[in-house]
Amino acid sequence: MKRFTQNGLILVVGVIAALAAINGVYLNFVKPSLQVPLLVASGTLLLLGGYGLWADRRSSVSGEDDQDHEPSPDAGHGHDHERGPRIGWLLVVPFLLLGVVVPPPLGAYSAAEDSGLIGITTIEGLPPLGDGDPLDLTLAEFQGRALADPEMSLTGRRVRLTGFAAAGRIPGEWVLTRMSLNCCAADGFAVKVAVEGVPPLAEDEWVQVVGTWRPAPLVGVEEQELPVLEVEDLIRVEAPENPYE
Amino acid sequence: MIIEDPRQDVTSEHYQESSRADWSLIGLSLVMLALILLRPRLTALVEGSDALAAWLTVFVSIGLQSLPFLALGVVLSAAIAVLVPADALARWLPRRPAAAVPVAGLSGVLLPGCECGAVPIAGSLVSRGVRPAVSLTFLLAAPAINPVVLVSTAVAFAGSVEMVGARFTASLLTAVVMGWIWLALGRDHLISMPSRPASGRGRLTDFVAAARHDLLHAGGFLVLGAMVAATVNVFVPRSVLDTLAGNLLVSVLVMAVFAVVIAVCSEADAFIAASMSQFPPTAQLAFMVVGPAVDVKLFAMQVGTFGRRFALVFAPLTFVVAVVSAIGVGTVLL
Repeated sequence: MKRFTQNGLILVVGVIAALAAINGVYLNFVKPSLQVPLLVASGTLLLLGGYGLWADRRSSVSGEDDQDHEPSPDAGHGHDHERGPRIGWLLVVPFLLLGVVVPPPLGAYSAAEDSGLIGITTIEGLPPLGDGDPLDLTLAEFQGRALADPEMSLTGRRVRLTGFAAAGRIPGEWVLTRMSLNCCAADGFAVKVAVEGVPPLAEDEWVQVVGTWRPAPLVGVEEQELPVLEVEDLIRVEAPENPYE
Repeated sequence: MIIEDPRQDVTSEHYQESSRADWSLIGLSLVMLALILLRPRLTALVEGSDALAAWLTVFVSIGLQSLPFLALGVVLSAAIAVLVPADALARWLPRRPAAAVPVAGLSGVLLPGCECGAVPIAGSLVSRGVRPAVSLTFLLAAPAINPVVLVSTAVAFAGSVEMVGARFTASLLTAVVMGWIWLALGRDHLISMPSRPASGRGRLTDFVAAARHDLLHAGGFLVLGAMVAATVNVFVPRSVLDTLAGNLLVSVLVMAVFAVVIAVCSEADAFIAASMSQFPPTAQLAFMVVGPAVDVKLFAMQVGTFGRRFALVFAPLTFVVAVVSAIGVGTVLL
């Protein structure tokens, strides 16, 4: 691979990573906290590639590149790969895919394998719930309060949850789902809430539901089942900019 | 140890650049043009297949997630290569290699980041004249015991001091023992470092050339590993792994193998380990000790930086040492 191409590849990676970090596409893949590191990294790549192009151009114009290194007759000895690591081509692959195809965020397909339970054990002394009516909660907060709060603070509260439909355990039934990331989509896992009183939905359709928790006694982590939301209102919504919790 | 003569490299590069058309550039342009023209069909293909879409998402996410750490790693390693005089590191480390190994292991605390950045840095150390055994100890320790990883472990395991302590101890032990084993084996000749672009045109140009080389090299192998990891992640049902969680030894081995194939960043692996609560703590520990030391992505990067013959000996050996160390430390501390 020639130096010009190496610089070109690095610039392509830098430009696509920077655009993804700026226009929000990166949120399909990683957490919001990675935005600044991504911008710094793509800036570094742009500087590396840009300086490389500039320096090569300058030296080829002035011819100073030639002065030390006369081409020798046995120079073309087949060490083609040393002109630049050929494996370097691969680096551009995920970024070209990101730039051209824009893979969708993880959805119902990836959620199908997961139980949807966070596996949270009883927590004493949770802070009181906020005031909203309906109160906006993440699915993980809802599940945590429902399955692990001995005070049962959710009782009687109207809450609003946003998620997509994924297949439930009974055929034809769907559960409200949100994927959650620890770090990136490679470690994504599903958080699910069972919903009652809802119309059938296609998988991966995003909805906002308002309803009340159906109280259930606390059990050990092994016996936990999805908490149930008795839905009074459902609207279809666009997928949020950050599809993960 | 073979380090190819950099002058010869530049000469050949120059010779070929001036005498051949640049096919790689034409290739890149054609690929990009084809991708843009085929974009609607590619998008339809991805939308039509959930499995393909999930694979692409996981694959791209590993690339995006590692990019900042990769960039940090290659910039640091290029800085070491250009700014640190060859004998400075050797002078700073204890003269006796056996004593330098634990010092290198503990220095791993200083490098925040995951394993993607550590490989080019270790490569840079070796070419700066640091004994391979000492550099390799640093390579194994840095991604496992740095503060970011320890804090994320503490968060994932709800502040469990035992788990954080066990991880630190078992990972440091693995790194130091591997360093000593490598000293005793004396197999440095297996290492074959790729040549870096030659120097002589000023520090900045040297720095940029070294960083560019490492970026393409380590980055290319990283992407290769990401492909394997994404494939396992999407196509191997987790239920297969769950059924193996019963027996302690089996579960330790299963988690260790799982760490190798899933190749998660060391900053995130604690959350995965913690989420596999059906496994005993020692098996979870094994997952976190093996992962940063040997996984498919790291193996591919080690092949790229130190050569295939080296990686084929080093990676399996590291796996065994890491598993034994995790079982030992887990039995005592957990």
